[in-house]
Amino acid sequence: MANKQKGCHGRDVFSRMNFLYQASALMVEKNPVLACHYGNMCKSVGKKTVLRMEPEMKRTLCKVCGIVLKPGVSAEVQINGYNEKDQMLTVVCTMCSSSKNFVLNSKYDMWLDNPRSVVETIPEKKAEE
Amino acid sequence: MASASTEKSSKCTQLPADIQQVKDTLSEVVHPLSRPAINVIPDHVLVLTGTKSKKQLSRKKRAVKKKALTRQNRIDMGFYSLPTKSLKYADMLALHNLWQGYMKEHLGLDAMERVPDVADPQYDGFSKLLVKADLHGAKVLVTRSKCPSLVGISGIVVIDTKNTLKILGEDDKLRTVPKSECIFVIELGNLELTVVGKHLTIRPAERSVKKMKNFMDLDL
Ligand SMILES: [Zn+2]
Repeated sequence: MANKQKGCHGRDVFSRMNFLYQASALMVEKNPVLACHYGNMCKSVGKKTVLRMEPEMKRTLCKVCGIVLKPGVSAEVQINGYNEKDQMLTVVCTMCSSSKNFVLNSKYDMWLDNPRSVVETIPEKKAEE
Repeated sequence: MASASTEKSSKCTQLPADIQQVKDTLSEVVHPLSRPAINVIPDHVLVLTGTKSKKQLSRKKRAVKKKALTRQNRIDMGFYSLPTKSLKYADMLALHNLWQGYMKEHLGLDAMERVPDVADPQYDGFSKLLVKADLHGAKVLVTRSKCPSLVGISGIVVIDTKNTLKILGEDDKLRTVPKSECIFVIELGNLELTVVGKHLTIRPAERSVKKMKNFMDLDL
């Protein structure tokens, strides 16, 4: 392949991570141990190549064991907190019983959701040339 | 009378500022009428200096950090001992389908009509891509090996480690095959790609990063 680095940097690694994530999501119901393995692999490939996952996607992986947190299958989801202000979404992993907390206050948004955070979009056609 | 109750005497040297400070604090405490009677004897003032001890500082509770799994935890959860018979080949076919899509994108097979030949200029890049690819979900057949009993093992790769592949055969049995002794044929649609196992002996997470050196000679 003459132009290996087409599109953006680390394109092949991203596609590999994407594949591993999908594989993990596929195996959640049938074999959670394998799902953990693939999720962990996805995380460690990202670590080795110093490429970041999208936060929304990263939050669906268990921090400790790496399984894809699918509500009802591999995770228990509940909302606690009395006031609307300090309500938290708690996701508990059923494999390793670790939990994640997310703030539900709509006042705070992620920077990536802000349209100003987009610097440049690489068109798809250019990548295929 | 107040002066007597200030501080115990010592041989330390005092600054006039310290004595003034003692006087000020005393006059605040004492009854207003007896303030003029305050008499601080400089020899009787001892200034204690120092900082808080480290123990006091560290008494604050630290937030408990989430720990990664220890090896014992992983063993307990069954990460290293995949049961040899619980996996079903039919379930893994879905993974294989997913892998086919990934592999076609990774190798760029849509753009190319055929796999480059040994003489083609793209051959080198293509083989590097092939070695860098992920093998989870690939259909693999062992064609040649140092160990004759390994020849003919085929199935879907379930787990990829540094030195072995765990292959799930069509009879739902999980077999562990060492990489370095074998030559594998990877089946991708109607293509058959031959890979020397020795070139795959990298930890799967590092495979994307590591630069491949000149492929060493084989002894098979
Ligand atoms: Zn977990």
